[in-house]
Order: sequence, then C-alpha cells, then structure tokens
Amino acid sequence: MDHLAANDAPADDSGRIAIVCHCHPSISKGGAEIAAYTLFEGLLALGHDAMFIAACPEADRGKIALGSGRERAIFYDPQAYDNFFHLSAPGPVEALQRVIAAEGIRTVNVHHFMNFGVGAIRAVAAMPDVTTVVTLHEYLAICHHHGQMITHPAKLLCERSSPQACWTCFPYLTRQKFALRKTFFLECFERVGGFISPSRFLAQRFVDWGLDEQTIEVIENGLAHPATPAPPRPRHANTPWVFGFFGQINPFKGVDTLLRAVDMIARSKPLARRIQLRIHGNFVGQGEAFIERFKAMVDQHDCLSYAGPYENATVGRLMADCDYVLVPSTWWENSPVVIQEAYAAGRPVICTGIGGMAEKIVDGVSGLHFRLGDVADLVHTLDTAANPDTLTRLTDGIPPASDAMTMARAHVAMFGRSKARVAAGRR
Amino acid sequence: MSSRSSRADPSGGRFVFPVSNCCMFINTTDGRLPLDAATRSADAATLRGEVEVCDANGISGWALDLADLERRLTVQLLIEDTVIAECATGIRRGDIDEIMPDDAAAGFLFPPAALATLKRLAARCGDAEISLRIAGDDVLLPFARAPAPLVAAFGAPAAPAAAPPLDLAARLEEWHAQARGQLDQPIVPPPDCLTGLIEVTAVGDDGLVWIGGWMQRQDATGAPVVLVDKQTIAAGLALAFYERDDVDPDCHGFIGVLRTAWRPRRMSDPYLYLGDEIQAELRCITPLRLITVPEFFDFFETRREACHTGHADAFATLGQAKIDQWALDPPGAAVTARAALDIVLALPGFGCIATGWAISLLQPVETFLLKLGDHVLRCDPDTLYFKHRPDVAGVFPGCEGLLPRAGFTAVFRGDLALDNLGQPLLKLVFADGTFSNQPVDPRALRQLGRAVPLEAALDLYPSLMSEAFFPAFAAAVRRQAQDGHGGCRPHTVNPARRVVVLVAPDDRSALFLLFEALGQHARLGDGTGFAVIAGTGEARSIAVALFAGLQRNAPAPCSLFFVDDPEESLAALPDVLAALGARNFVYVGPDVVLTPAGWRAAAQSLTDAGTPLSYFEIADPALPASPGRVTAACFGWTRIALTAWALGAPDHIGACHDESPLPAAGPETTIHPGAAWFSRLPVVTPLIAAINAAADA
Repeated sequence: MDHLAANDAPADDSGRIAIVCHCHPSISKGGAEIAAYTLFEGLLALGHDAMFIAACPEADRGKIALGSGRERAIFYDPQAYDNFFHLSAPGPVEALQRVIAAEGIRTVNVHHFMNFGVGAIRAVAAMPDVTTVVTLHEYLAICHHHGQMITHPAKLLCERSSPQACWTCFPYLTRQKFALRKTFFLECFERVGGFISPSRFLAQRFVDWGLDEQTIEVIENGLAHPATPAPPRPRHANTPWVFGFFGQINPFKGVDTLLRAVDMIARSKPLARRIQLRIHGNFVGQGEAFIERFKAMVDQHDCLSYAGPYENATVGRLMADCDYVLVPSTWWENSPVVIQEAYAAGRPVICTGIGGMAEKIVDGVSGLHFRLGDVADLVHTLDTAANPDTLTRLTDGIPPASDAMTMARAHVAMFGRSKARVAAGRR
Repeated sequence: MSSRSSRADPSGGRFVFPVSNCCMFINTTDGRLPLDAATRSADAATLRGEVEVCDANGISGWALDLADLERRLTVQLLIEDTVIAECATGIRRGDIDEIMPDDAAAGFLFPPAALATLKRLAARCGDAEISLRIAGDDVLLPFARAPAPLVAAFGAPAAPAAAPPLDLAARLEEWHAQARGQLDQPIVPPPDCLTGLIEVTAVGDDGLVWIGGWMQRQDATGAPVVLVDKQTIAAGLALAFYERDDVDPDCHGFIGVLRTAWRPRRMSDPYLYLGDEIQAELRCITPLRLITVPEFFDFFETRREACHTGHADAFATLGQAKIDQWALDPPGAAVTARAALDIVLALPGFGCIATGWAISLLQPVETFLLKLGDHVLRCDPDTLYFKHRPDVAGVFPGCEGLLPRAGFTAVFRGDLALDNLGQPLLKLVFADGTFSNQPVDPRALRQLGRAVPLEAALDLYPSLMSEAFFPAFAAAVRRQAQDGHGGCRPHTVNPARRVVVLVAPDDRSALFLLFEALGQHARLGDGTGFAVIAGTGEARSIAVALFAGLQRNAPAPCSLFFVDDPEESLAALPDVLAALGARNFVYVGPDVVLTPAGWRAAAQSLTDAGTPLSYFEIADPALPASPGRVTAACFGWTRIALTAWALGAPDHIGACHDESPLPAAGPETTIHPGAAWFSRLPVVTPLIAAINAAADA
C-alpha cells in the first residue's frame, strides 16, 4: 500500500523507516499494534519509505494477513520467551537484524518489545547507521504486573517501583531479580536514540524510573480513520442519557465499578429512568462468575444493556448513539485509543481521574472525572452529566482528535532529532 | 619416731597409725604386736583399729581403746563427711585377745543394711570414697587393703558379658557398621596376631554366618571384623566360649555368628581381622567345612551348657528356627499392646529418627527395636522422649492414664542403606524380656534430605544441633550429599585452555539472562571458551535451545554440561575443567551475575600470568550500598590448584556459598570489586551451617 500525497514530500533524513511491533493487527487488535499500524499508514500517506515488521507466533502463520509488500512477519516460538526479563531466543532477534540490514532500514521505531524481547532493542540499537526509537505504550519495563503499575494481588495503584515494592507483589521472586531487571532494561535502552510516550503521565513515570528526560517526547496516538464528530443525540423530555463503555471487558477496565453503579442507580427510580449504561465489547480475562453476574444484571436492570463486541470501523457510529463515553479504568492507563475515538465522535468522556485518562480528559472541559473505585462519586458524576447544559459545555471543550498523518509528522520530526542526538554522541 | 600418714602402708599388711610421740603398729598378718609400752598414752591417741574387709560382701574390722580395752567403741561409716551407718564393737577377736592383756571384743561388723545403703548410693555417688572412723573422734581407721574403696564397689554386679538375647541382632548391626567404617583403612595386622582357627561354618538367613573353632583366650565376646576373601568385607562378630580338652590350655573353643555379606565356599580361605585396631586374626581350615544351620545348632547344643562366657543364650534364641523373632502377633491373640510410627526419617549411614505412639496395658515398654529389611536398629535410650497423645485414646478406651506418655520420639541408630527397607516392623520390648511386634506403615518412611528437607529433623528434635548424636548425624548428611553428587554429564564439549564456567540455576528467567549475557560477552579473545553448567529440572530444554542459539553465533568455543543440582556444581567443577582441558578458569556460581566490570575482570583474570586465586566481589543489587561478599560462588583460579584443593576440601553442603572454603585472601589473591551481583541471596540455614561446622571440627 503506497500512499504519496503531493503536499507531503518525504523527509529523507530518516531514510527507510521500519515500524516494529510485537504483533500484527490482523492477529491482535490491541492498542499498541493498532497505534503502530496507524503510524505506518500515516508515514506512507506522507510519502515516507516505511515498512511494518511484526512478530507473529508460529501457530498463527496461516492467519496473519500482511497488507502489502512493505510488511514483514518474523515468526517466533512463544515457548522460547521469558516474560520476566523479556528475552527471546536468538532466532527472532537475528531475523529482525537481517531484515533491517537487508532492507537498508535507517530508522527503527519499536512499538512494544514483547515477543522480540528487549535484547532485540539492544541489538538493533547497536547496528551501525541505524537510529532506534522506542515507543512506550505501557509500563512493562517498570512493572512486572502486566506493565500496569497495579499491585498484585490487591490491585491497588502503585506509585513507584522498587525492588522491595515489586517483591511485595511477587514474593516468590527475589528483590535481587527485580533490581537486576531494572538494570538490564536500562542497559538495553542505553543506545536507544529516543523514546516516545503518548502521554506526559507515562513519560514522567519513565523519567522517575531512570530514563533521561531529554530523550523522551510526548506524541499522541492518531486514529487511522477518525470519525466525523456527530451532533448530540436528539432528546425529548424522557429520553434517557446514554453512557457508553467501549473496549475489552477485562478486570482492569472498571466494568465492575459500572455494575456496582448500576445497583446504586437502580435503587433510585427517578435516576434509573434518566440514566442508561450501555456496554460494548467482548469479555477478556474474566471468570465465569463475573460473566454470569454481568448477564444477570443486564437481565435484571433496564438501566443496563449489553451491545456485544464491535468492529473498530463502527465505533464512531456506536459512540454517536451515546451521549457520553465512559472510561472507568482502574489502572493508570496511558492514552486509551477510546478517548481519541470519543473525541473524534464528538463525545465527552467520563473517566477515572487518574493517570493518562486524567491527562487526556480535562475535568470540566472535555469531560468529567470521578474518584477511583468510588461508586457514589461515579453515580453523582453521571447525574451531573445528565444535563443538557453540561453536555453542551463539555462537547465544546473537546479537542480535535489526532489522525495518522498528524501522528506520522510528529514522529518523523522526532526521528530526526533522535538521529541528531545520536550523531552528536549524546546517546 | 615421726608421725606418719594415717593411711595404710601400701606395702601391704602393715599400717602405721599416727601417734603424737610414738609409733605403734600391728602387723595383722602374723599377729605380732610390737608395742612400745613406754609411750602408751591415756588420751585419744590410745585408739587403735583397722578396716579389714570393705567390699560388697561386708564391712568389718576391729577397733579398741588401749586405755580401756573393755570400752565399746562406735564405728562410723562415712561417705566423704557424711555418716551413713554406725555399728559398735563387741565381736570377740581371738587374734587380738592373744596379744591384749584383757579381753577387748574389738571386732565390728556392719549390718547388711549398711551394705544395702551403699549399694543404692553406688549409682549416684560411685566416685566417692568410703572411710570409717571412731565416733567422737576425727581419727580414721586405716584399711588393710589400700586404697580405700569407692562407693561404686558396692554397686550392682557388672552386667554379664552376654547381651540380652533380643539385643544381639542390634549389637551385631553396630559392630558391622563399625567394620564398614574400617574398610577404607589399610589393613596392617601386627605380627603374630593369628589367634585361632575356624573349623566349621554354616550360612544362615538374614545375613548371618555361624562359625565354630578355637582361639586364644580372650575376654572380648564381640567385635567388628574386617574379612578378606578376595575382597574386604565388613562383619560384626559375637562369640561364646567354652573349654576344650583338645586345644592348648591358653586357648578355648568358641561358637560365633557373623553379621556379614560374606558367603563362604568350600575353597574359601579368608582372613578375619578382629577389633577396631586389628587385635586378633582368625583363619579357616582348608578346605572349609560347610554344614547346614540345623547341623550347626546340633553341634552348638552339645556345647551350650559348657559355654562360660559370651552370647550362648542369645545364639540359642537367634538360631531357633521355630521362633520368628519378628512375627506379628497372631490374629486372635489377646492384644495388650499397640504401637505405630507416624514418621520415620531415614538417613543412610546414620539410622532413623522416628516418632509415633505406643500403648501397653500390662507392662511398660523398656525399649524399641526397628527392623527395616535386614537392618535391625536399636532405640538410643538417650534420645527417647515422650509426649501426650490424646488422639490415640480410642486404641484402648478407658486407659487415659497411659496417654501422657503414649507418644514417643527416638533415634534408631544403625548403618542404614536405602536399598533394602522392606517390611518395616517396630518391636516393643518389655521389662520381662517379652516383646510385641507392630507393623509400620511403609508410607511413614521418608529419606531425610531428599524426600523431606533436613529441617524436618528439627521438627522432631528442635535441640538437634545440641544433641550428642549430632556429629554422627552431620557426618551422615554430608556423606549423603557427597554420594548424591552424580557428577556432571557433558552435553557438548569444546575444549578451551581458558574458560568462563557459568552455572545456570534451575530458573527459566535466569537462563535467558545468562545466555543473553553470553551473547554479549562471548568475545573475550585469546580463544577463551565458555561453559554452562545447567540443571536437569524444568528449564533443561530451554537451556539446550538457548545453547544451540549461542553456538551458532558465538565465535568462542562453547560447552554445555548438566548436573542434578546446580547448587552443588562446585563439586563437579574439577570434572568439568578436566573435560575441557582448561588451565585457567573463572567460575560464576548459581544465582550470580557478572557485572560489566566483572566481565572485564574475568578477561583480565584469565590472562594473568601465574593466575593466582582471584575473587569476584558479589553485591546485592537491591542494596548496592551494602558491602559485597567474597565467596566461592565467583572466583578465578587454575584447574590444577582447584583440583589439589578439592582433594582436601571440607565436604560442605552448599559449599559455593561458604565464605571460607577456598584459601583465604592473601597477598597473592586478587579481589575484583563490584564484579558481580546476586540474583538471589544465598541462605545458609543454621542447621546447614552447623552440619558444615561439624566437618571442620
């Protein structure tokens, strides 16, 4: 797929660019792989010479759908991967180096080091005439608990990592291993030209952890196909206010908080008539007990509905059928793509007031915050939002959503700065 | 004449009694009574006397007052300063009357009650001296036979040479175990130690070999034996002696039994060396006369009554084919005792630590024996302790009084080997010599240090490290660890004169990190090779896969070895280095990761001329400010020096984490600071530390 816009002459100081990702969106539709692929498309749209290189499990060899000759898959054995130090067997790393060398790639932007391993970043960064930039999509280098900086098993917010704190979450490991993990990651990042973070919150966390502040830049993720902002839903006197949740229904997305809010709403008939919660998405990582409870509550409460899974292409339309979008995540988040999607659809966002969410949604401007885990506060916030004046005010505060080309331009500029920094020996 | 000691003259038969200005003595052996009449005094110095007999048969003698021959004196029996009995003189003594001008009735004899008192006190005051004095005076009576006896002389008669019948099997086991310990020592029999001949032999069951013959007179009725019959074989020997007219007067006949793996044949020509220092030697007539066990016991029965010393009764019991000493109580028999073992911790070369319960309705249990396969282990009475077991109240309802001491824990010593522990049985031995055999659930058995951790022994003996048996326990633990070293198994060997040997713990993540580091540093130059020692646990496959990846890319010779326990890889290191043909090496033990500085130090260490011992300081990466440690977990040396050191190295458990197993750092030793990190801090439990300390003691 070659896109070359007349107004966008390719900047040639980056040379051939490789977007390297831990998975291909035809296999997995996680935020990191979608953001990486969106960047790839944006680079092509701007006329840059870009490639997309994805790791793919051997078992999915028959499933991956590479979109063009500019896409490559490097197959790996998931059994030959360590999820603590994030190291793979030499094979995938060697294959990646061969592709980079063979294709004459000069800039490598790594999105997520899983499956290739962080050793691959070190290996690629050591290649001559190659500038390596790492995009950080979560806190995996800092936190062994799925990279979310949530304690295990209590699932409380973690403010800062340390060998002692991490050992408290994983007492079957050792403090020494956690100390070695950090040292090892920093060693592997030593020759990286620069880092990109979609949020200032995440960037600061990595600076606090040990990365050089001068090497991290904040670039928002763009949407591949941003929707056109939809007008507010038509309202009548008794039209309920619809708050829509979009995304994977996993333990960290806060759906449990929504269910408890439904219980509270249902106890107030006037509120239950005014407010409807609509859940979109599929269940991931949830036990049978939760799913059964969820279904029972849907059956029991008119103010709760389940719209099922959805395709990304339909999210704009689905959001347009809502008044607000809910992002009740119980972890810090980084820059959830659902926020950009909501902005693109012209919908304010109600979110947990922490982390990347609180950064992207300005309380009282482009949306509303509620306190983490505070169901009463959430219900109060919903009640506040269920007001035409509030909706109008918050809708007016929605910033424009970023798109692929905007994202790509920012990345290319950053690649150039990183290359200059490497050349100047500042890395 | 000068004063002399009040003690009897050790020249015998004569005594000197202290008199201020004179010396008078009575020679009691010939009745003479030289008397210096000119110096007779009328004060206390006129008291005279002697203790003539003072033993378990009686206490008697004479005492008189020269100034008043008719005066009856009270003689006191003392233990140190305590009067325990008194008696009065009054027994006519013809020998004294002959030489005294008047009838003195000077004899005294302590009543049997006094002897009984001394006998009861013998167990606790055996080392105290006995003395006699005349009441009201501090003058001690001299003893006719010096020195004065100790209280112990009045104790129970010494135990007979023969062991209790049911104990003999255990005694044989102990002598057998003792002999096993002698097998590694050179046999240097003294000249002329040939003591006797074995004339007849019968091979019995349960590892017993019966022998009969003659030998020079001796008192020992049991001994460890090193038997040489084309190989050295251990044996325990018990004997009984009887008189024979057909041998020299300084010899006697013997009947004996060997607990041994030796199986004699007609043409066997063994040498039997008796005693822990080879005090005697037995040979056999050739060809050896082999008979059946029944024939042997027919032979024995004709001589049994004549056996004057030794284990004749026990032999009769052992040899009775009709009685199975380890048969369970027959069904339908009146059950008056029950027992069970809950846990039996077996340690080869030491024995067992067992805990369970035993209830006997009619008689207290005097001791226990534990039979495991062919091994009969005796309960060490010094280790036996009891506890309340209310949970077994249902065994014999209504006998709650027995429950407070129903539970027991004890050490059963014996040279246990794990290859034959079938059909375990517990024997309750009662005071009257009867017994009851109880089955033991085989599931109670577990090997200490393998099936259960060593610390399981602490659960039964929290005082383990202070127990008298601990040195033997510790030695057996170390021996078991040594025996368990299966050595190293080479997977891929690529020789290298200089090599970095890295031990991978049985941890998948650590393996990945190790091979990642090797991929980065496998270029130390000068043909330096790398060897990985990995374990045979779950991470084995990934070790093989990662090694294959390393081999593809590394320019240096790479090797892979496997050991059962990476924690004990230091013991396998000499073999690894020999297989590699290495001269110099750097060893990086399990749970240790070299820092970049450590890799540079390794390169330097391997190229240093002379290659003295060098240590790589290991720090805790979680506490970088804390001082690093210098241990055998990371060091550089030469193969020859290491191998020579290993010959005499203490057999420590977990030696790689010792801080002083290798030569101490000296002027020739290099310490590389900041060279390594622990990925897991070594934990040496107090028990392990004590076991290792016992090796150094």
